[in-house]
Amino acid sequence: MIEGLLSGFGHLADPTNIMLILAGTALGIVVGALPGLSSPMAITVLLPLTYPFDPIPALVLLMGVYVGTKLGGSFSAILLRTPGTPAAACTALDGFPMAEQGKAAEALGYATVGSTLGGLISWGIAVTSIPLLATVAVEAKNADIALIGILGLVMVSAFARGSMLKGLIGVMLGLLIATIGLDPIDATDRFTFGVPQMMEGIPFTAALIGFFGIAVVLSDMQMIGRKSELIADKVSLKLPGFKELKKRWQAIVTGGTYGVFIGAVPGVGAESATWLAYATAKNRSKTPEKFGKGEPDGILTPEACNNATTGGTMIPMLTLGLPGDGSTAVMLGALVLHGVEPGVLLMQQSGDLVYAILASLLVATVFMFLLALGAMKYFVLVLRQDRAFLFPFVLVLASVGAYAISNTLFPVLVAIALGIVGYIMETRRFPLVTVVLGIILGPIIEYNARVAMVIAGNDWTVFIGTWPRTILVALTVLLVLREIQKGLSEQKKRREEILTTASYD
Amino acid sequence: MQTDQRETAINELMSVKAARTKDIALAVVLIAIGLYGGISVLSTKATGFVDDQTMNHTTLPSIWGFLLAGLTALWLLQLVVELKTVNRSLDTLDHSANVFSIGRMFPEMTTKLIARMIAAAVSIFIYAVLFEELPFFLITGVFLLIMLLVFGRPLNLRTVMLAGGGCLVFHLMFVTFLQLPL
Repeated sequence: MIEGLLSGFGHLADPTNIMLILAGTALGIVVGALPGLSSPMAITVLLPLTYPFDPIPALVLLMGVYVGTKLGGSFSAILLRTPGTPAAACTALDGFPMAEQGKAAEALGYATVGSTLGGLISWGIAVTSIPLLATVAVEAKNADIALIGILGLVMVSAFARGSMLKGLIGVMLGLLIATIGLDPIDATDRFTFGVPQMMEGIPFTAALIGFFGIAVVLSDMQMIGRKSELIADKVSLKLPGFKELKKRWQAIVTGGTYGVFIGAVPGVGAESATWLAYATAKNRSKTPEKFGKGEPDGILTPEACNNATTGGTMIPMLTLGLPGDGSTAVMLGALVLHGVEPGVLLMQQSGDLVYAILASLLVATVFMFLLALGAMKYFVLVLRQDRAFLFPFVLVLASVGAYAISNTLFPVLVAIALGIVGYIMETRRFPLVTVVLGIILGPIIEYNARVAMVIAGNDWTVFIGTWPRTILVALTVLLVLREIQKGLSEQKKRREEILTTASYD
Repeated sequence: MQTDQRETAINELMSVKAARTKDIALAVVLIAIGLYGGISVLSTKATGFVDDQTMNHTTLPSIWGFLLAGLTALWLLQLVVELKTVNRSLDTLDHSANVFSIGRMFPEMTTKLIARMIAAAVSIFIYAVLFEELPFFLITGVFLLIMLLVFGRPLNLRTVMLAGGGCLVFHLMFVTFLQLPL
């Protein structure tokens, strides 16, 4: 493991890679700071620019963006009370009141230190657990891989925003889209409608650009013309002292551990993790009444948690090929795009790449801290801008990026069409990440399930033939049943709410 | 006071009704897609060298298609039940306003916003078609300028400079660096 890690850092010694991480982290902080622009969107529009790169430089650039957006989201949460990313919403609870008390610099300092320490905690856990888990995962057979993929999709549906039913509908739509083109075993064409370009299937990057680029721009058009009023005119960064941090170590550790472990559950991401960590820190506190009024622990905990999810989401992504959140879903796509097959064999087949990704996680976290320390006032400047002026540039990147997939118009048309589909689904509160995951995991599930059946001589019991497989099936069924029960009680609650509204008197 | 509360209740219920009506329209489309996918794939002819497999090229796509239709039908059922509750509640309030007015159905959509969205979608399409035919530098500059205006920036020197600078950066990035045949 140490050897692998050293080789990972060795790759980063290349000045190009270091510059790419630095540029990615700076861009990530800017994107994260701007409400409406998200990490998956930034990674998606950057993806086509990485075409000429080898996998390592491409992935370390995207890692920089991923880590940077985590901190950037807190800047707008503290200074505008509008979180730049959904995961930073919790930071606004104490960050904004602290800024209102004239302590914006201190609030930003707590956020920066919390994010950095959370990132370091998660890096430590990820780097020790991933190689161990990968050695277990490598034993997985085709049937296991198909079942892990299905469980992953069910988990994402259960934990993503909105109801599980909507999540599952999104997954099924993604899986159906993934079957377009020649099938992976015997090259029979499906849903191609006689269009030759569709034989190769829906271009994966075009789907990402549609769902995470064009759909988001269309959704965010309502923000046009909104300028932001900052809570303070001149903003700097004031880091908390060592003694202060020592006093508050529990808040950081709580946030860090919640972030890693909840982040490691596919599909949960940082959004839910930060709220859970915040609630725990508040319950444990001797002065819970101070929370919500500018309590430093109320910034340290969610920020440590938010950045700790970066290490957490890497665990399922690098060991099982399952994304922890939307950004890692796009990164899985980046792996596919660069000819690397994500999944249980990733560590065995591309160990160098895995360690380089892990090394870049640490380097990006350190860069994030240094950039916040040295360039805070420039990042804050961005917050004053009307962010709508960025959208035309995002659209050019999206269109040309889609065109660059095959130097034809077809992927651009696919991106526009799926962008409109994504926009409609987004307005009806469908978690788009579930559709994207269906598209990514669909071919992996189908290929492995069919190979498993062929090897087992067309015997369906292959999917419950071993203890781990039985457990995987049981987990999937239990999760679905639990969510059905939850869905029914929510439905009843909604009906009662409607009746209460009607009986206003 | 009582009248105000009644109006608030009616408005809340009407917005729920509008949202559920839009959901139902989407659900119907998704069911149609699921059924079409599930049924049509079953008639797909396999290539000649396919062995006799229990799980073949139609199995999973048809499962995904029927599950999409089935799950969406469940959602539709929930929506219909909720809509009925809303309608009953509106009846108790003795209300008969027309929910299908554009304003009720799309309260967030102003004419300006709709025009901007259509302009954006059409512009991307025209841009994509034209950048194969016209010089990339020229077409990107014009596209950026139009989109900046669509996105609410005034037509002034700064906007023109922004579009010009942007297309220069994109030209360097895509044509010089990535060497795309644009």
